[in-house]
Amino acid sequence: METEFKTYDEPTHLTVSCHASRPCPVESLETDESGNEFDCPFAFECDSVAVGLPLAAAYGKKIAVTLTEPVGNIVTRSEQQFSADKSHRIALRKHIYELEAAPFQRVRISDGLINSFGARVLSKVRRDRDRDPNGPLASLDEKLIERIQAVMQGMCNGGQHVFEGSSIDELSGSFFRSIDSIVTDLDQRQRLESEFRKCVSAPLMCHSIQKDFKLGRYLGFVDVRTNSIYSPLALAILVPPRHLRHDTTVTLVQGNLGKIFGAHSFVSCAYSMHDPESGGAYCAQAAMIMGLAMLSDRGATVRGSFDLTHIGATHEEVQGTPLLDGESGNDRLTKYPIYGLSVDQIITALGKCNVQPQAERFPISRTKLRLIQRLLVAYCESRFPSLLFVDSNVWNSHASTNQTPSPGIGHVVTVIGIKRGNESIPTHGGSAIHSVSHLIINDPGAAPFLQRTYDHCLRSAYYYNHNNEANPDLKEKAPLIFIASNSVKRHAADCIDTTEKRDYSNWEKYIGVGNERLSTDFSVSLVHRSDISRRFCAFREDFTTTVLAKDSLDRDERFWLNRVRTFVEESPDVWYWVVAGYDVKERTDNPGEREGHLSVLWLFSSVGEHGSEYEERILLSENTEP
Amino acid sequence: MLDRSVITSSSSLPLAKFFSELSESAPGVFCDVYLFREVDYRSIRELMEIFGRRKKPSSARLMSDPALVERFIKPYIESAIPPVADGPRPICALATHFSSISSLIGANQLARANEAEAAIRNSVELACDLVKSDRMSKAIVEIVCGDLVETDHRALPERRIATPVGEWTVAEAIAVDRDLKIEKLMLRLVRIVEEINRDEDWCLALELEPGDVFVFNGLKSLKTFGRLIEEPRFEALKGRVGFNMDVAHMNISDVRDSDLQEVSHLLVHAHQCDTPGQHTRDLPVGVWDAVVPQSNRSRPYLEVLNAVDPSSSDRCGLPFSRAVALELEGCRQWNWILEGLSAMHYQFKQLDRSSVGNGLRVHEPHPQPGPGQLDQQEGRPVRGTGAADEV
Repeated sequence: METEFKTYDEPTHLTVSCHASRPCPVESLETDESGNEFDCPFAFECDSVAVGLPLAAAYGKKIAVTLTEPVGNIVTRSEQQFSADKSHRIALRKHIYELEAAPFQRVRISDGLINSFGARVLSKVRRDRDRDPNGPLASLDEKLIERIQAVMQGMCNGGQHVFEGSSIDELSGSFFRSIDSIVTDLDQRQRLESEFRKCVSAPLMCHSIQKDFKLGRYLGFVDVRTNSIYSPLALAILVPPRHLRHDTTVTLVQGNLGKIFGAHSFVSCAYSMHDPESGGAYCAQAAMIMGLAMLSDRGATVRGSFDLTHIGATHEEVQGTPLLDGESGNDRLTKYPIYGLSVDQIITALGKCNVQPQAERFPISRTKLRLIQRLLVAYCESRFPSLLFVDSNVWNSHASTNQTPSPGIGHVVTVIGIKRGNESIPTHGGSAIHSVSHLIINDPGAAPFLQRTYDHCLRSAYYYNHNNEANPDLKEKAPLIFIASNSVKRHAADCIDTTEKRDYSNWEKYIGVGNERLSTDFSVSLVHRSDISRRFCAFREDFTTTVLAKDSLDRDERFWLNRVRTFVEESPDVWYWVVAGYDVKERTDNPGEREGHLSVLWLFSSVGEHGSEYEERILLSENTEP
Repeated sequence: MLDRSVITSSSSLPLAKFFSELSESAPGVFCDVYLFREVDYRSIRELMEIFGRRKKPSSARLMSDPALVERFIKPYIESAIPPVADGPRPICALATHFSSISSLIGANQLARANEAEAAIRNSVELACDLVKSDRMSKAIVEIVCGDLVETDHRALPERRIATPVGEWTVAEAIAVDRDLKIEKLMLRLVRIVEEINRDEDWCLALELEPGDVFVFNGLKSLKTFGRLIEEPRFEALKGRVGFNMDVAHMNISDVRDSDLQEVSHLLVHAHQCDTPGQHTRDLPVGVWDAVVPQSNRSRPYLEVLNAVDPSSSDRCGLPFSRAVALELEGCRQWNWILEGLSAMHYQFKQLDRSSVGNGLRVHEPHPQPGPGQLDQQEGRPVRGTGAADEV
C-alpha cells in the first residue's frame, strides 16, 4: 500500500548524519597501525537486510533511517539459543523517520551488494524449484540459472551504481532487460522479479540519510535480525502511520513502549515478525511477543520466541537416547516440535508471562459477530491486544466470499486496533452506533498496521477450524485470545457467560439499561426475548449485555445504579468499561411499578500511567455470583 | 566500598583503546576482559590471516587451542593493558561464553563439549598468567552454563509442511532435565579443576541467566548447585567454583536477596546493568531504576555482596573480587558507560554509609595505589577528574 500523506508535522531539517554501513555513530571506528579503518562487523548486514518491504507496507516509501546501532534484543537473544550461532545474538537497531522531502533520492549500491542480491535470489529460486516440482520454476534448469548469474555478474563492472528516483524499478528493469532473451516464460519472470525486489528492497526502500532530506516525524525503531532476509524485523516499536494516527475513527492499542525497550519514550505499538527457519518459533510466538510487548508497561514479562516455544509446546518423553558419558537419559529427556502453538498452549505460555489470557471460541452467528465487535472495542479502548486465529489461505486470499477456499494452515495475528465505519447499527434508544468496519492487525508474517475488513477477519477466523474433524465442537467457531494485564481477574466473556447461565424463568428480565439516554457510540444492547428487543433490535438469541462507559452515565442514571454508585462516582475520571446485568421486576407492593438494580460484573480502567497498577476490579454483586 | 568495573563487551573499541579511554574518563575503575570479541579478533591481523577476514571463529575454538592463546590472545591483552606492580591491578575477571560446556547428547556434541572444557581450562591458565604479570588481582573466570536444549537436536527435520510462502521444515528440540544438566556440568567442572595445576588464587564464577531455556536460570538451580556441592564427589569444586551474581538477572529471575543468603559464601564477583524488570536491553545503571536507597531494586543484592566476608571459613579460600562490573551488551555509546559508572559510584557510597549506620561490617577497601596517589577526601585513585565519578 502506498499512500501520499499530507504534511501534518513541521519538517525537521537534517540534524543527524550517519552512514548506513557505520552503525556505531557514537564510538568512532578505530584505525590499525597502517591507518586503515576497521571494517564494521555489521556493515554488510546493515546495508542488505530488507527492512524496507514490511515497513513500506505500513508507511509507504517515504521513510529514512537516521541512525543504526547494534543492540542486545530479547527476541534475537532467545533465537540464538535455538540457532546456537552467537553471531546472531546482537540485532541492529534502525531508527526510522518519515521523509518529508527528498528531492533527489540517490542510492549508491556497490558491486558486492548486487552480487550478493543475485546470489540470494538465485539460491531462493533454486530452493523453490526443488521444493515444488510442479511450480512455475520447475523448468528453470541449472544452465539457465548459471546464465542468469553470468548476466548479474556482467552488471557489476566495478565501483558503485547510483540510482535515482524509483530505484527498485530502475534496478529491476535494468536487470530484467538484460535477461529478457534468457527467461521467456512470463510466470518465471514474475517469480524472479518478485524475489529480486524482495532482496533489493533494503537499501532502496529505506534510505540511509542524505543531505537533501527533510525529516518528518520520528517513527520509532526496528531491531533487525542480521541473519534473516525474509523475516528481518525481530522486534519493532513503531509509531502508527499517519493514516491511522490522524483518523478519529481508529482506536489503537498504544503505550510508551520506547523506554522499556531501551530508547526514549514515545507513544507506539509493538511489532514482531516470525522467523521459522532459524528462530525456533512461528507466528503464534511472534503474535504473543507483540501482545506481551504492548502490555509490558502494565507488568507483562516479554519473553523471547524460542523461550515461548519451550514453555508452550507439549513435551514428550524420549527413551533410549544415551548421554555422552554412556549413561541412559531415560526419563530425563523430553522432545517437542519447533512449530506454532495451539490455542491451549498459547494460554499456558502466556500464563507464565504475568498476564491474564482468555481464550474464546465464538460461534459465527449474527449476534455473536456483534458481541465480538463490542468486546474488541472494549479491549482496544483499554489498550489490551487480542490474538485472532485465522486460516492462512483465507487470510491471504482476496477471493470473493462466495467461494469456499481451499484449506490452508493455521495462522495467528495480533489485533491492535479497530476502525469504525459509516454503517450504523440501530440501538434500542433510537440513536445509532458505528459498527467496526476494519480491524488493525499486526501480521507476524507480513507487516505491521494492516487494515483488514472485519468481515474478512471473521471469515478467516471461521475457517481456522473448518476442517477440524477430530474435534467437531471446535468447527465453525472463531477462536480469539484476549490478553489483559494481570490485575484483571475475570474477563468480559466470562461475565457474559455468567449472565447467560442465570435463571430467568420467573422474571421479565433483560440485562442492560432500558434508558435511551444511556446509549452512546460505544455501548450496545443485545436484548433477549423482550418487547424491547423486537422493537429496536434484530437479535433474538442473545442476552442483553451492555458494555458501557462510565462517562456515558449522567447523574440521574447514576442514582439508579445503587450497586455501583460508589465506584462510578468515586472512580477517577477515566474510561471504565462495564458489563452489567440489569434485573427488572414488577414491585409486589405496588403493581404496575417496576424496580430494578444493576450488577456490575466487569470493571476496569482503560488508561493509566506507565508503571502504575491499573485499577481493574471485579465487582460481583450478591445475586450475580456465578 | 565495592569496586566498579566495566566488561569489555560493553564497547566495540579495541582493547587498548578501551582501556586508555576507561583510565582517562573513569579513573579507578577496573575492567572485565571478555574473551573474545569480534573487534579483538579483527585487531589481531595474524589471527585473521589464519581463519579469514569474513567471520570470526567461535570463541571456544580460539580459546581451546593453547598455542593460539599463548601466541596471539595473551600478548594482545598484555600489550593493551599495562601491568601495575604497586597498586590495584586493572583486570577484575575474564568473561567467557562457552555454552557447549553442558552438552550431553550426540557425537558432535562431545567434540563441542570437549572444546568448551579446554577453552575454560585455557582461560584459567590465561587468568593465572595475567595475575603473575601484575595485570589481574585474582584469577576469576566467569562462565555460563549453557542451555537445556541440545544443539544437535534443535533442527532435526521431522516433517515438511506447505505454507503460503513456501515449504518449511518442522524441527524438534530435545531438552534435558535441569537437575541432570547441573549434575553433569558439575562433574565436568570437577575434571577441569583437577586438571589445572596452578599456584595462583583462581576460581570459576558461574553466571545465572534469566530465561527458561538456560540451565542455570533461577532459585531452583542455585539451590541444586548449593546442595550438590556439599556431596563428597564434588569436594574438588569447593574453593574453586562460585557464583557471579548478575544483579539484573537476579531481578528478572525473581531471585530475592533473602534467597541469596544461603549461597552468599559462594559469591565471587558481580555484574550490574539496569533493565525494566525484563531482559529487553541492557541499560546503564540508574536509567530505569532510580538509585536512591529507598526504592532501588538492586540495593538488597548489593547489600548481600557488600556483606561477604572473604576470609570466612565457609568459602574454603574462594577468591572474592569485591567488584561489580557494568555490563551493557551490544552498547556502542561510551557516555552510557560513564553514566552507569557514575550511578554505581553513588549507589556504592550510599551502601557503605548505610552499612555503617546499620552496624553491618565494613570491609577494607580494595588495595589502593601507593602514597600520594590518593584523593584525601574520597580515598580513590586520582588519575584525572573522571566524569564517571560525578553524581
